[in-house]
Amino acid sequence: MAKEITIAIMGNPNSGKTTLFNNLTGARQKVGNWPGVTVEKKEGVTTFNGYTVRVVDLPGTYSLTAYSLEEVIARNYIIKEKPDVVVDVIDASNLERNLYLAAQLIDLGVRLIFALNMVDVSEARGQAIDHEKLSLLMGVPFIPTVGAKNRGTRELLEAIVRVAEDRDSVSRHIHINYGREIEGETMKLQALIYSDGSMPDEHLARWMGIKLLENDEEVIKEMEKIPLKREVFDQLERSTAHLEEIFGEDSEILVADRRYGFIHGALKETFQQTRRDKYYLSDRVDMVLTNRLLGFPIFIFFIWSMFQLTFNVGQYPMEWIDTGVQLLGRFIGDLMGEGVLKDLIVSGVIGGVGGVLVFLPNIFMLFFCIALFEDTGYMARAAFIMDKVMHTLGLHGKSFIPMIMGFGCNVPAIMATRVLESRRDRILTILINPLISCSARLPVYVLIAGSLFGVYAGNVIFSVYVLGIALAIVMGQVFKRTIFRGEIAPFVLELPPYRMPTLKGTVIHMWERGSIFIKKMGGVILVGSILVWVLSSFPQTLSFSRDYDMEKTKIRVQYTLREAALIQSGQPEKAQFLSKEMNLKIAEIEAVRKEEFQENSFLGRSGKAIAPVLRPLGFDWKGGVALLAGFVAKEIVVSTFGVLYQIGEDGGEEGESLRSAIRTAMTPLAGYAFMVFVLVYTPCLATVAAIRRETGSWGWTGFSVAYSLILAWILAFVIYQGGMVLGLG
Amino acid sequence: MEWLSTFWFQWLKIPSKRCPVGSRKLSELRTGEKGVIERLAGEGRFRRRLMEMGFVPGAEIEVEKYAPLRDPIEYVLKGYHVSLRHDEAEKVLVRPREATGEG
Repeated sequence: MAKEITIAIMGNPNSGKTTLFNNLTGARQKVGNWPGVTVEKKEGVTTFNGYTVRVVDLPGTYSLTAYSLEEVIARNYIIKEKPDVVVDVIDASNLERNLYLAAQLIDLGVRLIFALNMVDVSEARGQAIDHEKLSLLMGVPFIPTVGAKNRGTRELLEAIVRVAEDRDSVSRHIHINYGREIEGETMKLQALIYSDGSMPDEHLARWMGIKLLENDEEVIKEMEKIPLKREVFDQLERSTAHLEEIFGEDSEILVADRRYGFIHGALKETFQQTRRDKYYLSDRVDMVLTNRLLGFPIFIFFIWSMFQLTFNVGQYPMEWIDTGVQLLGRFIGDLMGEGVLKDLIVSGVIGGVGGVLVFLPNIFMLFFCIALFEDTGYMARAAFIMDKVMHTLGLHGKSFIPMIMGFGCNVPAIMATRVLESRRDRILTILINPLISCSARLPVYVLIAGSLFGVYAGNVIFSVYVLGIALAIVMGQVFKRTIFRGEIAPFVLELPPYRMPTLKGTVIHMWERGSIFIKKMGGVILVGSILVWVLSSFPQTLSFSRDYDMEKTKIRVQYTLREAALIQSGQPEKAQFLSKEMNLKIAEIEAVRKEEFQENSFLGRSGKAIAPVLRPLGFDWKGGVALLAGFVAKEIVVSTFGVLYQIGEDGGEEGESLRSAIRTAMTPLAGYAFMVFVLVYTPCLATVAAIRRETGSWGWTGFSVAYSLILAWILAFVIYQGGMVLGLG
Repeated sequence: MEWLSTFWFQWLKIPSKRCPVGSRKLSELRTGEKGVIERLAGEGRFRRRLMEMGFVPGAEIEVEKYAPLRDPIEYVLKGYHVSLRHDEAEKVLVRPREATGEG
């Protein structure tokens, strides 16, 4: 049968909406984004009684005002896409506030079902809810469910079909009575809006009338488009003035107040608190976890554990993937003949994609921990504890997680900004996150500081980390006072009861976010790595200043002759020694050849082209090339130096020769400026891709790249030139 | 001292019927103290957000605890827990329920 029902799931955050969605759809889910925004959109399909039920999960909201992006999305979906049934998930243990959204949905006049979720928690708290009577009072069926135990799912589906077929016995549209005065004004507005003719039904016109009294920006915008707008706005002005005169309050406060009045009235007849415990288990747990003395140590322990899990346990699968990628590269390399195509596939494609794949264990591990924090309710407490600290940086308490993750890797850190609800907080956190020095930058510091600062290397590296944190604080303040001025979102944070997470729920949560990483970022990074590969491997037809092949052949001939002579004269040990010497000489020539190749590749030429810009910072063109290559990933700076200083890429035991090469090329002052530049300048390609993905805007991505480049240059300039003036050079 | 507060309210152009003497800022309540919400100050967005979270006149609110760094503050309202920053709680005017722990 081709009968299809589309349902939309609404509900307050923490109402168990996601669990219910998982129960309804199982693993058959499609995660994407709402068009043009980075709010997650989830869809699933299930079949029931010959119906194909398409389930759309709307963002969790407290209300249907135009207060946040999530609310606008949810509202527009219901009004414009017209799902057959809207299921509002209501937390039974937090009934009164959850019914506020429910009351707004009743005003909208759509086909509704209320899933009375977590009835077990509510019962355990000694609350008795007469859901049948509530259904009659509100004209909407209440279906008791327990999401965590998958109870009531079938009943919910049955109700969905009943309501969709318009044969539910309790479903009817009720008018929430806002009291004589407000009703009178609403009716005037409704009549005006409806008479305009552009409004399809009366309920919607009434809803818009109410929303106008609530001073709703979106509806006001909508009204500006209709022919009768003058009349509507004149009436609105008269109505609000009238209500203000009578009640001495804004109409928006009055409407909210009456809405709670309606809820209060309905609950009076249907809700009973049979006993009142002084403390619930959740409160006892909370007394420890947010304790004045223990709160911080426990919090730090959790974060430390998350860090360990993400970056240390994640290390093992990371190495397996790395080995696997290398084996694959070698295998394919052996299959193919020498040439550009082989180079492209092995170095460009496999190397590039492999570079992304190795992040996967980290990312999944991190998202598992974050899902655990969110599903248990600890995330809200972490924000509660940390808010004072983060607020001084102009951030939200929840920004702490992305900031601390930044020390490991900025990519998962930037993806972790999804825990933040306000877009302003999200973008601000994303912008300053790359200043937190990630682990990929450490090899660069170790090389430079180890070469130039001897026993003080540790302190010098530490100072770079501290500088990064200080810069994050300063830039946070700067952005807060310039770009994001006057946009501060209210903190108002719900602290939901602690809950036992389900493994299934947490794994689904983790998988959703991790898979977005694979799907959306893989492409960008692939293109980027191929681009850098092309820049560093072309032009292939280079006329070298010396004939390296000829030189190599000469050496080979020379040594082979001498070896043959030695063997004939009965000195095979000396011959062996000679052959070693020959290999060394050939490797030397090869290294020089590679250097010349690098120097003349597009990348090398670009390095030379930007050399004048970098000279005031104390870097030569080799530093420029290394920094350019480091755009792909910061640790590449080290291997590029290896190539440029003719050490060979796999430095290893020859590390000391690279160090001495650095010592001759840079003064300690220039080295410090270089480290600071590496700390601050443009985050790596993967991070840029993550920024693009999470901000949903090339503008912000470009801004992030540009500001970090400029800041890096200024800081390195000040350090180098300032140091020169002070005579430190 | 009543004349003084009346003077200030008039000077601040706050109608005195909305700010009866004896009401306090929510941020002034100590842990365990209760109050009944009287009025919300602040700009539209903030007020609407608070209202949808249940901060409506007449609602009873209790101070659950202060965060380890004294800010934000956790409240119990309509049977659930919610936290506000100190400068947000300043904008909520309440009539204290129990006069314990004052001064």
